[in-house]
Amino acid sequence: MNPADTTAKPSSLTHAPSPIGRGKFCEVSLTLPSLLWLLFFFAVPAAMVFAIAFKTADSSGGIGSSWTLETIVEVFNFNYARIMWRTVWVSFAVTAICLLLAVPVGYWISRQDKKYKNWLLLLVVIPLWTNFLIRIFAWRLLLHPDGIIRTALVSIGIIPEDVFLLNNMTAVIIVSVYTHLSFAILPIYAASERFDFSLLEAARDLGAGRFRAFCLIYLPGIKRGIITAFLIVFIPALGSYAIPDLVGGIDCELLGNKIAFRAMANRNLPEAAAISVVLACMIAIPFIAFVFGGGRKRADGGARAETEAISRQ
Amino acid sequence: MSDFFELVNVDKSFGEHHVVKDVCISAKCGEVFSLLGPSGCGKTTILRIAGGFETPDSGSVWLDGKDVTALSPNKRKVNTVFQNYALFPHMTIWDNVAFGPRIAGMKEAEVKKQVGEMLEIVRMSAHADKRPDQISGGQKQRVAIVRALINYPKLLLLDEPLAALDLKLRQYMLLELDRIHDVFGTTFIYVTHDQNEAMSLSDHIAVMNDGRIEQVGTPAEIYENPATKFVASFIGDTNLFDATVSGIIDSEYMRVDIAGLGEFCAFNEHKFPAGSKITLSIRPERFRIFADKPSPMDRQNFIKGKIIDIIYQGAQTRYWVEVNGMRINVLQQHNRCYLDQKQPTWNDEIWIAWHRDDVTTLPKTRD
Amino acid sequence: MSAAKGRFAAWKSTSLIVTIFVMIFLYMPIVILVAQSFNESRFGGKWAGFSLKWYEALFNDRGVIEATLNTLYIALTATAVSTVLGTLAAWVLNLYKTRLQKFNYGITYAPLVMPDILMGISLLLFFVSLKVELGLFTVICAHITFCVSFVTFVVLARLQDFDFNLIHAARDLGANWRVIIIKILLPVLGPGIAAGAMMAFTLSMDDFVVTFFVGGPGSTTLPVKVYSMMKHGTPAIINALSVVFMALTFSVALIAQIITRKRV
Repeated sequence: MNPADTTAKPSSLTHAPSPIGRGKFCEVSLTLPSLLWLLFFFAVPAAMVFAIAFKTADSSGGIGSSWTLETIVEVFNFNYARIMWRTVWVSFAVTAICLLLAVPVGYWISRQDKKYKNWLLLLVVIPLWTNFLIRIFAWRLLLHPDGIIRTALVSIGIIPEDVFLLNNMTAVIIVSVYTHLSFAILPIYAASERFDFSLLEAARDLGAGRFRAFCLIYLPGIKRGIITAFLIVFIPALGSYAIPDLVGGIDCELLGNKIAFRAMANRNLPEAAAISVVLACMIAIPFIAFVFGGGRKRADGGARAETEAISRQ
Repeated sequence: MSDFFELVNVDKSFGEHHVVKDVCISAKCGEVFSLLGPSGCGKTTILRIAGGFETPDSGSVWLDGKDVTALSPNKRKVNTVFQNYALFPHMTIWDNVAFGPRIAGMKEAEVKKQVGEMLEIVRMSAHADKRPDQISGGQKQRVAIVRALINYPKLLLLDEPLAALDLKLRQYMLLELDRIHDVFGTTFIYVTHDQNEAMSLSDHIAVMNDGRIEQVGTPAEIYENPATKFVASFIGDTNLFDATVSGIIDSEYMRVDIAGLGEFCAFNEHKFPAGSKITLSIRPERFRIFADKPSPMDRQNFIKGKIIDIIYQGAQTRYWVEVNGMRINVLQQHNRCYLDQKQPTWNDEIWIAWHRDDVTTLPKTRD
Repeated sequence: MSAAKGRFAAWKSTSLIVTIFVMIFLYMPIVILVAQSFNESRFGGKWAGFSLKWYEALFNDRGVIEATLNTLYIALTATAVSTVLGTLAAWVLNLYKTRLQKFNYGITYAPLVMPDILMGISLLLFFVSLKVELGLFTVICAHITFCVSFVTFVVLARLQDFDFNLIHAARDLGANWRVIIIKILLPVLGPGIAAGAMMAFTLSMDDFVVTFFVGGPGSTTLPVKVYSMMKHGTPAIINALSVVFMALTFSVALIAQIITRKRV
């Protein structure tokens, strides 16, 4: 086809005499409001975190005037390394559990009759309408020593009297899975919905067993959804703060708690900044891996917005 | 009637893409004028230039004796029917049709009368209170047409109006369009990539390729007498042969040498001198098939070949005949007399014949 | 399709079981929470009788009422500003494909992949460095910042389905720009913009981490209040508070549902 084809179509707006917005002046003046806002309140603060990581702290809890490498070096001591490692494995565990649950659910919903699909999706989404902290609180109630689950388990005799469900790593993982699960189901459902199920028939026809057809055809088919779900769960999990703070024990501190502790209680802003830099780098790794490794242009935030959008509607 | 709508030497580029190249067309008042060509040939751009949505880089646009090149869409008496109808989704059918008159500041009573009449013409009165997503494609099409016609434009531009409809509906809407055209008598400029639509509706067709007008003519002229190789192959099926003029017989006929087939007689329409390199086009339905060598007939050419493929198409059968390694496409109608004959079958050695006037000659120089 | 269903029966039943499990998992805490808010006893171990005493206590708590008003004030302001900014951003991102827009896209996109805690700490450092006093103002600025990106992408998604021929058709029928904006753009894009606004509103109401970081005295929102109650106060009121809060978000979500479904 002639390359002119696209340009000649009326739907292509690049050349359409557009109303609001013909010419550079219009473009710039319409772009500036949001762009300036984000530069000022997003880009500048983000850059500041990097700068402040190399500043000294002053005694009154503010930021000193001289530069130092000490803080950032300090962050790599053994104590922090342990917390970094813990943050990573907990996030992986949470993401893995979410994906394991989300794939069957996404598959099942996508295979239902069209009439019921939207209702089922709504069922997945409704828990998200509940405030994040309230969802955590609900679990505190459930896992409480006098709460329904422990009382039940103890009376049946599954767990002994001296086992507590709250304030440990298991509680952190369960609650994290709970808060992120819906976000994992939505993109997987969306991908599964687009998947051509006759491909599975074809694979079976060509002699693949059920399990192989599933692994070799279905999973790669919904790869996009899985990657999106992974990023949507993994990245926030790396930065989680409230969950370990509220349902975790002393040994459950993650990087997020350290940042909050340094920033609020202990008031050492440069150290909080330094830990944030480390966290930011940890987040950049999977993200860049998917963007460049997968050759996908926009790996995941657009999808997050879409997912959130579905969930909020 | 003189030329009512004219494009004079219109040129348009988008960045590096030279989309419209020095185009001149003229349409008479009240006719249906089609722009026909493959997608990407620049026909939609021409329509948008006519509508005022694009300004040409050079050249001018004339409507009813006035230069309208610089006028914006709302200033010229031209309206457009968009490809996907572009009905306002949040308004009823009634409000969609009433949009133009209301913008023009017409009194509500008058609007009511006019919209009512319009919807009546296209038999959509019963659906006046529905929204666009509640009616079918063909109905949307009719609404889009009257919405554009209610302002009584001098020119109605239609951009692939039937492309989104299925085959049956498309055939029905062709008749409907023809009827609406008869009712209003407005000049239609009709853009399409479908030769059947253009053929059945138009008074004149301009065939376009790669930004250029290849040929302008009535449907019959374009089919019977294609000016270029592109037109010959784009409109209907044809067999194209490279040939050399080997001799001149008289003022009307010449001898041509088709590489690989031999020498034949052909009508020398363009008065080519001996030695010219030309291209011949022969339509498949012009050939006749004979089981045995026919006795020499008046002004007929014939040649022996072998049937290598047969495609039965109901009303007709298409044969692929191989002659000295060349494949010739032959189409035979199923006439009563043929039933008496033995049907040719695969690998039969047969003769094909064609009249010397059925050969269209095209200059070799143009594509 | 039906054949495919049959052949994959084993996988289908597994997926059904997982789905049922997930649904129970998702709803159990909420159901228990609501039930508990009417329980005379403080913990869910046993049912001590129906009671509205927690609700009474809640409505007599001035701190809670103040937090509710703060939450609504912040959410409304942040929604109004971010909807305007986000809609403009979506419009230019959809219309132009220039280098400026590539940059604009990047900077609008980045906040979506940034965890709350980093957004919170960076804004905290920013405000502290500029010596801005933490309070309602800083919280509102922060909320607008994370809402803008979401609004932009929601509206952008709707804009991509928008048929620009509608604008051409209106112009063709003689409309000028003012008429086009009022009669065509706003009504057609309205639901998309409303969806973006609703999203901004719920995100703002939902936020805890960012507010916690950049908030100060006088800017306590409901989530922050819930947090501090969980940390120090009497959890029993929280049951009731949660239910009221849930009812509030539910109604917003339902209104959003109705608005966005009705048109289009």
